Amino acid sequence: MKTVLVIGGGVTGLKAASELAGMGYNVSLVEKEDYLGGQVVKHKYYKLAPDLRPAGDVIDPVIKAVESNSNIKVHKHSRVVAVSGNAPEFKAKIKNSKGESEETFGAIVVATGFEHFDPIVKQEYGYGRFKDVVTNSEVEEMLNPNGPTKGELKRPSDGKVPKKIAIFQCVGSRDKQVGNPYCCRVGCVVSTKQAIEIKEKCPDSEVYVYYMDMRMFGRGWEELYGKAMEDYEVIFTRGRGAEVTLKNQQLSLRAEETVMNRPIQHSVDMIILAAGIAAGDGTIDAAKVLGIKQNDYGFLAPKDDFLSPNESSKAGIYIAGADKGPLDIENCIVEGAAVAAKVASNLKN
Amino acid sequence: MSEETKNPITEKIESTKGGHFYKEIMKDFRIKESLHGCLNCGTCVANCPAAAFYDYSPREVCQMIIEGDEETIEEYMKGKIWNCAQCYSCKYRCPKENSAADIVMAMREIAVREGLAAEALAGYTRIAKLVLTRGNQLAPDMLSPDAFPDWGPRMIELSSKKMEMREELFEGFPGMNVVDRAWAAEDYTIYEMQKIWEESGALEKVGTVFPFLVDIVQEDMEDKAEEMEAKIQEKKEKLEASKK
Repeated sequence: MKTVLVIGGGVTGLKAASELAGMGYNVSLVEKEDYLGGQVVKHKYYKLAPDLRPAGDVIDPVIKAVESNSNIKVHKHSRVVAVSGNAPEFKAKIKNSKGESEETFGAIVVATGFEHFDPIVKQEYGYGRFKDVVTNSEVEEMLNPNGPTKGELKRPSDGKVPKKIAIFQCVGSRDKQVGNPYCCRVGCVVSTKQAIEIKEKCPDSEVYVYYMDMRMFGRGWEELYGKAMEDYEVIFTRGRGAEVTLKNQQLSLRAEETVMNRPIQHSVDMIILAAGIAAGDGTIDAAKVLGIKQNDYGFLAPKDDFLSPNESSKAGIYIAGADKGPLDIENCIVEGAAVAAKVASNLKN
Repeated sequence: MSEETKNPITEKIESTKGGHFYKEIMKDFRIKESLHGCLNCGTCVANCPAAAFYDYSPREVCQMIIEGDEETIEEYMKGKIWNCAQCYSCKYRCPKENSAADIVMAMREIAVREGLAAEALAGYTRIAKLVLTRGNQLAPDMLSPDAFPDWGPRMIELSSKKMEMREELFEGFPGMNVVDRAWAAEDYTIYEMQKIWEESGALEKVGTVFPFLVDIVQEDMEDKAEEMEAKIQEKKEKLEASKK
């Protein structure tokens, strides 16, 4: 039986590894961090849209399925630094703090995922300059009882509970100025979910979402959007947040209410930036080491988007999940299973 | 009820796109670089200093060009586009890298050419007249209390002593001791400048906005013509002599 190398220990990589192991293959899973679970664990995602189900309910069983399977060898804190050979025999060098080892694999699955967009580039939003301008992943950590604030929503500047909160959509997405003209696919639903969570935690607070379009295409997302408006009185304003300044020690945002055709200024206590999705360092590294094609934005390009979505430009190297482009957790798991099936059927032939 | 009840709903039956002004605008190379579709996100309006105070919206400018309705374009060329301050904030913030400021600039040029700008630019008549007859566009005289209701007593007092102040400030520079223009250019220089405007066709263009100013300039030139032409002749002869 051939061994499969899976690069990346996020949801996609974990699912692919456990599915392959379940079919009897030996799997080596390489993860650069010293924990499994990828961005979900790194940013302590608290609840998942649209059911507001704890993220742990989903990620823990996926991690457990890998850790408890004796066919899977997990290399934490490791990186694949060199790959030689062709399908179905690749030689990969895996490096960790202790040293390097070389192993032979029949196939390679790249599931290196994404990283949250760093909004410091959008200097007009004041992220990094104003303490109370935070990203959605920071809010996720805040809402999590295991996070730095023990589940309390607090302003970073003075630790007070914010009364008025604005959420900016499309930060680093649908934006040519930062080179990311694509949609992040998850910002709308995550912001709506966070708005509901904030309203549940502090019913007195006012939550405003500044959006361009609400793209609620996923399972139950549109219903969640309706719930946010009807049951939680979250205010959705059509107009993209344009600028943040400090006025009398309070954050002041500028936007246009595009439905009413009027520019507005709005004083709030805290601003959450729905930072988009960018190709991570891991994905860019993997593309370099493996010599596989990327698209214009650094994500990995499938051989054929429709017909072979999980095959890279090189035979024997497979790609799956958010390293191909923005994707939600639900679909990452689907991708993990899909790539496992493709690898298994190709190795058999 | 009036004789005809107007239907409040705009009924789109025939396309209103592709009229003369629309075609003229689309011919300009700047439009292609300044309009790549519009997300209607409002970032431009939120950042626009003109939109904060006037009836102007860079988003509307983009949408108007995309729609291309001839009547709306004409209306804009006569009015709203002249409210833009040309600061280009829209260009540097637009997530689609559009530039309403560039569209406005192109439209302004076309509006002048097509004779649509007269009303919008009427407020600049004094400046235009000063440039055309004196060679500079501002004069201390323009800064008077009746034009600036927000001035306090000190500014009013200072403004009454303009001439004395300039005489003191520019001692030994007689050309600066004037208040009806920024500085006094020689008659000969002004005549030369007017001649350039006339020959290059710039004066004709000014005529589309300020027709009466053309008469003023031409009269001004006629008054001086004899004397100035003699001076030109004299200079030419001098030049010839120096060559020999």
